[in-house]
Parts: sequence; structure tokens; C-alpha cells
Amino acid sequence: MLNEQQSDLLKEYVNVFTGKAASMLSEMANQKILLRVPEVEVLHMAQDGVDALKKISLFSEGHIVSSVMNFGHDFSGRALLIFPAEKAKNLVDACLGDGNGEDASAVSLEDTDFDVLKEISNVLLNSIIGEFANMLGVKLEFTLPDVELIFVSEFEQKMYLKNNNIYILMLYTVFTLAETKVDGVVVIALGMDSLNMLVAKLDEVLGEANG
Amino acid sequence: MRQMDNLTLDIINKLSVGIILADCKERIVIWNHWMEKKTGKKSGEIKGMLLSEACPKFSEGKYKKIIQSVLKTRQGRFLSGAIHGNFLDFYMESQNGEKSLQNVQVEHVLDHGRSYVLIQISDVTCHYKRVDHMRTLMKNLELENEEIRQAELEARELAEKDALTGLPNRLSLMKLLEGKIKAHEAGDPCFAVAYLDIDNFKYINDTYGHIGGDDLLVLTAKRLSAAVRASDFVSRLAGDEFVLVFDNIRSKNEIFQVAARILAQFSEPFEIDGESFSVTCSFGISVFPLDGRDPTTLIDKADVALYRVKKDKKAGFQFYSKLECSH
Repeated sequence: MLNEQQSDLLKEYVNVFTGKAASMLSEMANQKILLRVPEVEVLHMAQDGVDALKKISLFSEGHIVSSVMNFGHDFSGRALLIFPAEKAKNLVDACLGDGNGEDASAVSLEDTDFDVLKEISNVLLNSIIGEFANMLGVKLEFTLPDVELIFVSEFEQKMYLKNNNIYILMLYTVFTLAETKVDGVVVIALGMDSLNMLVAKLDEVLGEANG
Repeated sequence: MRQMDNLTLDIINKLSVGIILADCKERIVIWNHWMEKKTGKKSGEIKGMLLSEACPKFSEGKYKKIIQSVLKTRQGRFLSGAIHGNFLDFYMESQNGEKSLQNVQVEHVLDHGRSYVLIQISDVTCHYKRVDHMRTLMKNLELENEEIRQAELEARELAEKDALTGLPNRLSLMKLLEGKIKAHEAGDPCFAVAYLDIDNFKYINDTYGHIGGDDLLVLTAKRLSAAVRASDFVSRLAGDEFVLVFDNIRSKNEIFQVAARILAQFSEPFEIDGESFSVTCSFGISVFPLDGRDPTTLIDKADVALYRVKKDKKAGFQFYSKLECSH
């Protein structure tokens, strides 16, 4: 979907965006939080469909925590931050300085944990989507994220993101807090026009750099 | 800001969350009834005041930055009570210093081209208290469970241990033998049981007293443990009676070798209360399955063989029957 150069450039941008989010999160949690996006990928649900979802190991059957934020106007879509439930618990515990953040044996997320996740998602998704808007020079409006714990069955896995003309921008994200490392994924669902806008911008920057 | 109609104002005042509206210079425009109730500060005295004066927490650098960022980027921010704690300081005081927590939502509002910051505050103190209570309860249950598990483990260990020598006791021996017999059925090699006692122990007890006798038993336990192979087993039944199990016996030579090492351990003198003296031991040996197919028979037969040694000359060992160890 993206060629190598576009993909590398997007990865570079996204890492700058998440770097800003990381410093905000660090301030919020009073500890050093590092955020890295080692891989980005664009999937087309109509073409890649179920096979694409299978590539997303985080969508394995079971409980996941999903934080959803809608954004709109010229550049519109839906951004999700997704963790497996036990990873989400690790992240919350590490943020609050509770325990060692490594106990994934019993996942019992409480409402207060969802509040913390809501704030983390808010900062991260705001930062990424907001910076996309700055990069594209468009104005955006977006909602505060809703956080939910979802049990994803195999059937739902297929249906969850499937929508014919939707493109999915996958940002595989790694949070590092003290000794805890948490893998998650930022999923940005974009319509064709919004994706074209993004690709055009990447090409423009690449053209300037090469020309 | 435009004049607000009565209905809108009434609705804002009846909301069960705190509402603060401040202009782009952070001067308070709306302070609803919930805020009045929780802080004791009337809307009339707060209006026009700086946000940082009305809620001192907003004077901290990071919160100032958040308010400014919301006004500039128009991106809403959510602040969780779990991370940020209490925003309403005077409310906390009025609650006898009880920990008070709020979730705060900061958003941008536009009216006739003018930017405002809308702050919604929901009190989550009771909720957090319940969650805290549940966490403490769960932690305590886990701790209690661990204590019970530990106590059971210790009790089990004590029940299977000889208090004086620290060796396994009769209960432990019987369990081991039962296990070995079952394992043999599954194909494990045969094993031998040695019933051992200290020669003339009564004399030592009478001469050196019970404490001297106990010291000798402890030293004997150590020497027996040193003589056997890692896979063998040494237990104390009572008094000066020890039962040893020689595991994985494939030839009679193996039994002879261990038996010789046991006797050799007794060739060195024992020292009790600074006094050195010689002690010997005798033991009888039964072999599974040749001499018996259950723990009691094997122990009894080994005891009979011991009796023969005692009757004979002591300081040695005998088999219950001629050894033909077969698998």
C-alpha cells in the first residue's frame, strides 16, 4: 500500500509525534516514559480483510482493551489504541507506580484503571492525530476517547474493522516505563480521501527532499 | 460571552458534575451549583477570578500548560483522579482531610469567535474508595491464603520429620516405600531396606545421660547421611532405630558397597562433651520384592535380620534371605 520510502518517512513522522506524547505522559506519570513505533503499515480492509487482521497479533481471540476516538472535517476517521487486557493492566500499574507491572496472571481491570487508560489514550491519540492535522495543514475536531474492555471472538475479529472502503493505518507501538515494556497498536481507520491526502503529503515531502 | 438564557443556566446548575467555564485569559465565567456545594465558594465571589486562584492546582506548571494547549489546539484533555489526585483543595479540607479525587475533563468551547475552556469535574472519591477497599480486601485475602499455605506446608514438613535429627520419620518412610513399590510396578528397579541400631546404646545413654545420647543420635544421623548415595534415604523411627532405603539396586554388589561405607563411618570415634569413644552399629537388610511386597513386611524382615546380627556378634549386617535381586 505504501512504498518503502513513504513508509520510512511516515514512520519517522509518527515517531516524532509519539515522542511529544511520551514527554507529556512522562510529566503526567512523574516518570520517564518512552514511546517507540518500530513499524507502520497500511492495510486495505476490502483487499486484505481477514488475512490482514490475522497479521495483527494483538487481535488474537480474547479480551482486549480498546480506546476509540473519532476525528473529523477535512481529514476524518477513527483512531483506536489497542492493548491485550493484561498489557493494559501492566501499563496502568507502571504509570501509578503499583507493583512490578509484570504480573499478567489475573487481569482484573477496574474502573479506575480505565480512567488512567483513557488519559493515556487521550494524550497519545491527540498527539498523533493533532500532528497529522498540522502536517497536512487541516483543522480537526475530535472527541475524547471511550475506553472499553472487549471480548473478541473469532467472528468479531473478522467484523471489527471490516468495512469495504476503509484503509487502516497500523502503528505498532511500544511503551517503555522503568522495567516494564508494553506492546500496543494504534489503529487509524481512514477513508480513501483522507489516505490519499496523507500519501500526497508524504510524496510532496519526498519530492522536495529528492529534488 | 452572550447572556445565557435561564433554562441553560438552570440545566448547568442542576448537573451532577462540576462545571467551570473560563475565558481565554482564564477568568472564570461560569461556576455551577455543584462547584458551590463542593467548595463552599459562591458563584458570585468566584466569577471573574483567575482559574488558578479559584482552584490552586491549576496554577501548577503542567496544568497551566494543559489549559493553554486546549485553548490553542482545541484538543480536549482528560485527567484521571488516579494519576492527578485532588483538584479541589478546600473541598478536601471540609471532608476532614479524607482523600478526595476527581476526574477532570478539559475542553475547548467557541462562542462568537471567542475561545473558552470548559472544565468538567466529577467526584470519584467514593468510587475510588470502593476500588481501594476491594483491592485491599483482595490483597489481604491473597496474604491470608499464602499464610495458610505456608502453615500447611510447615505442618506437613513437621509431621514427616524427626525433631531431633531432622531426618524423615516413620510416616515419611512409609510414604516413600509405598511410592517405590508403585514405581517398581511401572518398571523401576528393586530396592533394599536396612533396619539399623546403635550397639550398646543403652550403656551410652546411661553413662552420658539423655543429652549425651541425643548428641550421639544426631552425629549418627549425619554419618549415615554421609555414607549413603544421593538417591538413598535415611530415616529415624524411634530411639536408636534408623531405617535406610537403598534405591535402584541392580546387583548385590551395590548393597555391599553402601553397607561397607556405613560400617566405615563408625570406624572413626565419636566425640561427645570433649570425650572420644568408639561406637558400632548393626543392621539387617530385606530386599524388595524378594522379602516382601509391602512396606511393613519389608521393615519387619529387615528387623528380623538385625536381630540375627545382634544375636551373633554385632557390628555388622545380614540379609534376611539369600540375595537374588531380580527386576
